[in-house]
Amino acid sequence: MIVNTGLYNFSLDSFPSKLSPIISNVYADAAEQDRPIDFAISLRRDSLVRRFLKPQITFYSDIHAPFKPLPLSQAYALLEWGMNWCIAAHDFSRLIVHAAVLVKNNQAIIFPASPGSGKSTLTAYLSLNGWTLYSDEMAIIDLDNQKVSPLYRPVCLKNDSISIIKTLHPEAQMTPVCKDTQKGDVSHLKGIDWQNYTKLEPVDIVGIVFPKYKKEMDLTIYTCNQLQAFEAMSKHAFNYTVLGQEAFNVVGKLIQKASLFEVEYNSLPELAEFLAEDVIR
Amino acid sequence: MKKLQHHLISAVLLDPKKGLNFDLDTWQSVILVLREEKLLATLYHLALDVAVFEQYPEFAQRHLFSASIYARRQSKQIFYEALLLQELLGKNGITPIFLKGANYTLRGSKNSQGRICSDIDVLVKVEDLDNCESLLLSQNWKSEKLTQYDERYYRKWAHEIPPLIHPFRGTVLDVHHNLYLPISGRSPKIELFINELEFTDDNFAVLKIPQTVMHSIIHLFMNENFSSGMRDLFDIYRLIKVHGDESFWNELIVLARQSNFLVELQYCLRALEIIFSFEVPEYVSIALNENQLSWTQRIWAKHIFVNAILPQHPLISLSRQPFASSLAYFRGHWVKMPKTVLIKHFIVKMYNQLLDQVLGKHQLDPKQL
Repeated sequence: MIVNTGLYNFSLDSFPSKLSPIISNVYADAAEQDRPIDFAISLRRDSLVRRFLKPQITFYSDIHAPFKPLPLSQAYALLEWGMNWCIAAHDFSRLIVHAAVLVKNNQAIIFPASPGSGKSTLTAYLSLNGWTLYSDEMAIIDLDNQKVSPLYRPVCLKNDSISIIKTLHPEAQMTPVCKDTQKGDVSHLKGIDWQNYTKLEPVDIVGIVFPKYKKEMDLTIYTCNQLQAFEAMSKHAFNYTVLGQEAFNVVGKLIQKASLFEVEYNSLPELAEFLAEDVIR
Repeated sequence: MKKLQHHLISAVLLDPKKGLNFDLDTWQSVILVLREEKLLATLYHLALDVAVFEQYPEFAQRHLFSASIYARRQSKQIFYEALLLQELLGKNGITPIFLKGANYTLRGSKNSQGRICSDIDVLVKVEDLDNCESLLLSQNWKSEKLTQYDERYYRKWAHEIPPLIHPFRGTVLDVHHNLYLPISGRSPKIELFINELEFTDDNFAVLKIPQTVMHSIIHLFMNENFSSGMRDLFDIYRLIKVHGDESFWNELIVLARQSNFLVELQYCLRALEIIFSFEVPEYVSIALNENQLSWTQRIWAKHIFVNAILPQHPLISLSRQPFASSLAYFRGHWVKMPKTVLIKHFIVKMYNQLLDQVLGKHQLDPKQL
């Protein structure tokens, strides 16, 4: 099966048949283009006894398994993480930042954030409320013009955010929940369809926003200084140390061009309003 | 996906112009195989050298270029770590001698361009070993948690101490006191290799070229793991191509004789002939004439090693390969240890593998720190 994520083309050579409908749900409309495979991957069940007792699943990048096996129930989440790993471990022709990317009026805001900051909930919410989803996990940034490219990937929702989004948007297209992964319960939301994805182009980054969800906190906005933003961006870039000088230059240019904010919030609509009115130009 | 003849991989390495005739299906498979063989970035530099890189399809350029950035970073890291090691050990009167990938990179040999190493290998004199280890531990280098069995394997039998990891930089360092396991009875007199050293432009100590090549041969042909075999053989090929004059060959043959690795030298020459169409100079064949391989050794040279060295990839079609690799794996162990030790070693290994098969992998990993 071909899993086409737009920029990167995967061939998924073996996987548990139960995953078929889930993968189709997310990727089937990405037409099999006539272009070569970047990565050959598979999800395999290695152990004999473990086929029956606490079954496990292993992710393979070609003939190597970069991580330990996980319980079979987490197979789909493992597939998504495995694909992230392939990209982050092999693409050094662009700067890759652990960040969500949302676009309005052809202007991108990137949200670099640590786990638990509410980044994916925000991403899902914005993608369902008039913003274009460019990426949930990775900002793929060109080294020459610093534009960010879209990826055809779902949004990875965790724990409470699954029901929050389901309640707000019952129509949202989500995969069945994987229980008890390393990140808790996980479900993936399809944030864009292939037809719309193909119309997207690389765009300029106008804002870098570090979100932090705080239950008891009304929307509070702090402007970041460039030094703080630089430090955070370099920390969140997967391939910063490999790219070295080039990464330093790109991050340097980005923080000079973009507005820089740290936000604490407990209301998604309020934050969305701020982003649309004060960050997008 | 398109299956490849193994000749195609060596052909494009020897002559990157061959890549100009590949269709995209071929490139797709070539990229996957070269990535697993750690040769992607090598091809990038080879193609640049003969000015064909720009004519490769965009798809191939993208992957080769990307791999070269990673290799560039590794090379910088090797220089950086070497500098720190040199400083730390030098202050205490110990000269670290850099081996394998670090040797190639620090001396700047052609084959180091685009080369990816998983660790840095250094050699110190056995009398400096304890001091060296405690100096490194004082600088935050950490020993990986090992099973009791593996710890004993290193301390009692091996030619190196357990690998050290630098937790901040992620570098892995192997500190050796010989080039081969003492328990095998085959570890060479180390003086043959280190009595005369070469110093790079930046004053790092490395083995001289014949010693470097001999060590690479020992490493490849006295081991059980051939997973980067193609890359390792290609290193040897390229070093010989650059340095292989008559005095080099004379020194190499004398060294192989004195260190008792003449058979392995001949295995290597056969593999170079078969895989990279290398032409062994006549005077070399003549010099080796009285030490010709026996018929069983010739079978090993032609059928077992060659098949084990060629890429072990599902996209490469080779009928004898799994068989050859298993035999080479067994021999790799066979030459390493006396038979009583070997049998015990195999029982432990097989038991662990069986548990992996039955219970799933990583059941036996030592507890994380």
